[in-house]
Amino acid sequence: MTCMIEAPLGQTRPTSAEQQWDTEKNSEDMVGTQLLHAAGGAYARTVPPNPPLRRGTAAYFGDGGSSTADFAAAANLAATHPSPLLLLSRNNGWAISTPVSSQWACDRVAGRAGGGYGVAADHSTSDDASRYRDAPRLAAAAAAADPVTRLRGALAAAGWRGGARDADVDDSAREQRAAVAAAVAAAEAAAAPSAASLFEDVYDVPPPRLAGQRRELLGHLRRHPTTYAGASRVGPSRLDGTSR
Amino acid sequence: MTLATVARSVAARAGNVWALPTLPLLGGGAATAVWGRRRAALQTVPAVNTLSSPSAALSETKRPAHDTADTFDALPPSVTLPLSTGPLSVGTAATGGTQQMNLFTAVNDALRIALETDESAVVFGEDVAFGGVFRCTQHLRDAFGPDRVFNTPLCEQGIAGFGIGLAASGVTAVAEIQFADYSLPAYDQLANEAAKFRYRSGGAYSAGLTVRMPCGAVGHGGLYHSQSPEALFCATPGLKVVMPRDPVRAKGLLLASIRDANPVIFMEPKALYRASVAPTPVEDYELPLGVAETVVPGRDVTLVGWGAQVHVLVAAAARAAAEDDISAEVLDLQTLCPWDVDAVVASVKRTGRLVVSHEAPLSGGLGGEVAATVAADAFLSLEAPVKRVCGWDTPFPLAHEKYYVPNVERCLEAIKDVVAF
Repeated sequence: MTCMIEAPLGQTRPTSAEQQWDTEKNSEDMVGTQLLHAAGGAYARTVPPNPPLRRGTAAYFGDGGSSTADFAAAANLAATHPSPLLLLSRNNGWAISTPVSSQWACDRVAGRAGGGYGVAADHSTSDDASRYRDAPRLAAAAAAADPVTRLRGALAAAGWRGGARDADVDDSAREQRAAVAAAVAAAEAAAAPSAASLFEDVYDVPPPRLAGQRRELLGHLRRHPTTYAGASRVGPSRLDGTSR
Repeated sequence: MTLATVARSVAARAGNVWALPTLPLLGGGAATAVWGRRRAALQTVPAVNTLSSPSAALSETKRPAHDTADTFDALPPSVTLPLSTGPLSVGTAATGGTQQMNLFTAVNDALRIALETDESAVVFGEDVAFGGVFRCTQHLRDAFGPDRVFNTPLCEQGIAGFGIGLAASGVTAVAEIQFADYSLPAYDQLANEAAKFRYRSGGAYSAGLTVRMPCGAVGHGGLYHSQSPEALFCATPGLKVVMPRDPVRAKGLLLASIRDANPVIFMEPKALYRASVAPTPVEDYELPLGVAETVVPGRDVTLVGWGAQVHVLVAAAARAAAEDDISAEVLDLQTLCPWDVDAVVASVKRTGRLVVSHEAPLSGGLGGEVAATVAADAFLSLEAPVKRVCGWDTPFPLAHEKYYVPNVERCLEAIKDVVAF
């Protein structure tokens, strides 16, 4: 994920969460590709007519992501073309089943919060970690290794917390949680998108061949009204009116 | 990803037709099978549908292929594979018989045999050490040690380039890319290096590595866990591209791929890892690359596919027979590059009609390559234009997958259209 951060220089408290973040809500799934996008996005801040350098770009990645070629290229570009780029490594010690000891042989990711690796909660959302991690230690580590707690500790140790800043962070966290919960509820309550919307946003302007394919699918669905689960959803789409 | 999800997705795409036609007995000629490590007496046995029922897929059998104590007494004593040079009979009682395997246990068995029979063979990739995210490499590290079965850092171009270096230095390199969708960072190494090693050195060097990768729709993979990028690799002369449709073909084709002196991209339909089950010969055997297989013989129309799509075409053929008395012939290309032109052209010269089907998008897909070749080589035999039933020209959708994949209904419509033309 790439985020553009508005750094409110001279202010201690932004007036809203939106003023803090301008998040590029374009999720990535190919590991590491977002790092290069962030490098370009950061450098763009230095190119007229972009606003003066009050905005940085932050990119988040895991320990595994730091092995990708894109990480090397992104770091190299940012170093050779100075730009406001923040590469944030969320090092939980594992890339699926691969421990960091297999990921690198040096003390790689500098400045990692909390120091040390290995001790972490059940770290992966994609598989059963007990297949390659010690189950009892996993359970014991879960409670002690919450990354938010560890980050707070690291910030406090660096002297970057205290006073009004703590309340800001807690308020902001509550707002974020509420916003996420509301968004999830709204998404779950929403109706399924129409079949025709499958063809939207491939290009800015749909190529001619795609219109024909869309007609072909809608015709097929009309001929098979009960075959597809939930009945054929020949509903509205932003391509309506282009050519049915 | 749960077994139920996989089974449902495969069942949905196959139109819930589980009673598929069996192959008739194949009388062999006197030709001797060239490939394979055993030449046994001919025993022709009807092939079985390798797609298990959803309930069978859910009753997970986790035993690795090399475990003992197989209790499937009712299995056929051998497997007959119709090759262009004559039937190949493997898995006879004399050679160890067969064992019920699914696609990942068959792949695992092939890797085990490769490591056993070739002391220079190594298997590497992300997370292969613990067994792999699809269990294809389970138990191999325990059996062959960390020097021969090992994890790489998370870097696909690194995996490919490293493998090329190994292969060029005489090692039998078997790389794994965790999803075909992730092969694109490795494309430069594979297309610009591996594919051109032999050509640019005048035959002095070659990089005959094997790169395995799970591919294809799985029900919920979305943009980056569902792709079928075979056309990209087929467009790069110097590479071979292979895709099996079931455990028997997976094991034989993978062993042939590993032992082939050229770089081979071995694509494994992930929806079939558990859902495709068959009695598979336990012996060491190879199936020839570059040879298509007639899965279902027929008279009225030729259906060409590969991987999981073959099962969709077989189901569509059964529906066509039942509903409209259409006799459809189903061909599995097996090797996509170089593909078996002679087999497809010979079939179309008999049937006069062709439908090609693949999950990958229509435009630029291999269906066009097949259609153009048939138009050139069998023009006067065609009674109808060639029809292609493919993914739409969009990225692979998540919520819309059921409208995207070329399912039995769409294939059946195409069959009826070409027959009625």
